[in-house]
Amino acid sequence: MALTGMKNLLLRGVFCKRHAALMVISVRGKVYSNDYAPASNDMEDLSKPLAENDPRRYQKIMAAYTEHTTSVNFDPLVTYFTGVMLKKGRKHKAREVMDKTFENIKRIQLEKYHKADEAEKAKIELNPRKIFYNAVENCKPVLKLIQILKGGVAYQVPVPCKEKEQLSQSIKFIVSSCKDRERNKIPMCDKLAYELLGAANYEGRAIRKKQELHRACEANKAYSHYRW
Amino acid sequence: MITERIIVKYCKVLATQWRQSIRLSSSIGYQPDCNSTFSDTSSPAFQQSNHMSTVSELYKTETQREHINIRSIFRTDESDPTKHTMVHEGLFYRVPDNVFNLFHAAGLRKDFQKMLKAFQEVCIMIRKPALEVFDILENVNYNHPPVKIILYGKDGCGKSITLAHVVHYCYQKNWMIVDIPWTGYWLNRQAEISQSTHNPDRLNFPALSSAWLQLFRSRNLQHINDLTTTKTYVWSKRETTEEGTPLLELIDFGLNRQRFADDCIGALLREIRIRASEKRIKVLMSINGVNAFWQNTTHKDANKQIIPASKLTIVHNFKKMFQPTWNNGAFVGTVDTNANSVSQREKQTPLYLLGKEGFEFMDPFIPIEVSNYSEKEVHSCLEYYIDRLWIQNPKGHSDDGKKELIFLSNKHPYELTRLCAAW
Repeated sequence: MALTGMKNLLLRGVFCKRHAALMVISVRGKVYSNDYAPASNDMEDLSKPLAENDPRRYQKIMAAYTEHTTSVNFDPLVTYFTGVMLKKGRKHKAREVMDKTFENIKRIQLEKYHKADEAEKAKIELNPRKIFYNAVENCKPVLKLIQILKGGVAYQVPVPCKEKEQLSQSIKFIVSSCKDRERNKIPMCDKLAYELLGAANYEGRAIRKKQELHRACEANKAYSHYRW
Repeated sequence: MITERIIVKYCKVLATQWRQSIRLSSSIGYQPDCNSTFSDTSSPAFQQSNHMSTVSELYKTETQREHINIRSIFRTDESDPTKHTMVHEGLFYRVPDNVFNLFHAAGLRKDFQKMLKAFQEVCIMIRKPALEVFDILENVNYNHPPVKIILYGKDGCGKSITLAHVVHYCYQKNWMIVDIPWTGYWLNRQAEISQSTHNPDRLNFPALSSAWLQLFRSRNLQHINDLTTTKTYVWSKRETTEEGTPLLELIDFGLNRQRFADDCIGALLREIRIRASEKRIKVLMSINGVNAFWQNTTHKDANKQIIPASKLTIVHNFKKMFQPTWNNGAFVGTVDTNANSVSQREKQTPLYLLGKEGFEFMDPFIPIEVSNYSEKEVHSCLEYYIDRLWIQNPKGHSDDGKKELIFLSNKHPYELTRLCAAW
């Protein structure tokens, strides 16, 4: 039983000697070609034996990410967010801040919840993960500005934003609106908690940043044909 | 290290022998496995307890059990600690707010106090060490000098909360409570220092001492109302407290004349010792972090020398309470790594933390270890968190989630609270 389990793990590239070096040294950019499938970190999926006609029996599989775990509480978006927030490579500290942020959000919401009436209680969202997802979703911009040189003049041209760029931009809005010099003495976890809570309700600095970008795009609408 | 182990072991053996001599095991159904207590309905504990709502529900048939509220399994309605027995082990009980504000708030972690705010109530888990202390306090002979009980264990295992439970127990029994919620406040806080008028070698904390007197007055008003002094105290040429003046006046004098507040505490403790020996009051002395009495403070004197704690008047006065000159009282305290200086926090054992001098001073005492949660306790704790909406991740409510939390925290109470905070 144990042997078959190991075999399965090897097949999926979770334990793979070939990719051991890649697991240790993180490389920017794309390393794998398109015929590689991502490694799974779902414990339920991993514990089952592979079916006869499963494509993963012959498919090449990427090495698993070092920061991805099989924890029940694991969330890929949270790990991505932590990576953006990270300073000077102190990942452990960044994770701690993230945990405290969720704790703070929960505290604030619980306080509201206990004060509220029975009818209002149902409306209050207590799960910090859901608030976090809502906040990131709300800060996603539809457009972005790129610089295009035409006749020796640089024009700020509005172009539609890809989905991946939208996500990274929205996270950057949230994090950068917390990393300011004015409120240096307030802990990051407190600022982030308020920012996320605000963004979930379409309030706060991050949302304003998004709106400013949209406004700039609107103003430069006339240059939009320079895109081609 | 070996000698320390031997001494602790020896103390444990002494304690067990002593417990056997007072027929503790027969008076209360003292069985290590709680499930066996449940199944053995003929045990005395089962018959004695009137509040069996939680346990009797476990015996109901499947059809009956459907209607039971899940709260009843991790929570008990019995909020009187004097009625807590092994039957209630691992269950939470609610502490009345007025009692909590009086005694516990000061000595507990800030994290814990924040949690209480989020939970909207004060609940303490009934654990084995506290029940062990209750047994000792119930069966001890109060004609002998006060028994000394010291709680020890890893940081974050619940020593202070166990102590709070004990204080609540004694409050319910109408004892006088003389307590220091956390010794660190005396030794490490920035405060005004002045020379003692009674003995120039010793040092006073006028502001802190008067604050302590104020607290003591508010807490024990019903006990000190009809007590008077047994001796004339001469504070200075003009100020004296005559024999036969009420203790309240003595305390008020200390509050009005902050210069003498520390010496006033000494006089007050002396009066308490005498009155307790006369069987007029029963006294519980509880000190959180006793080991700080044999440490250095963070204060410096005029020559920029670090002041040892033994030079402080307050420590000198409280040390007198440990001497076998009085009876009708008990001491329950903790030894804490955080009360020691940073360089001496390697181990949690009483000998290491008290040091040789402190150990010899406290000897003989009963060490009681407060350890990690048991299997039953950890599940009850997780159920409580889920009930209080603290674990929000729906996966945390499942068996897999609970298993992971238990594995990651290794059933360490503080670690568990930290982990659950992010879920």
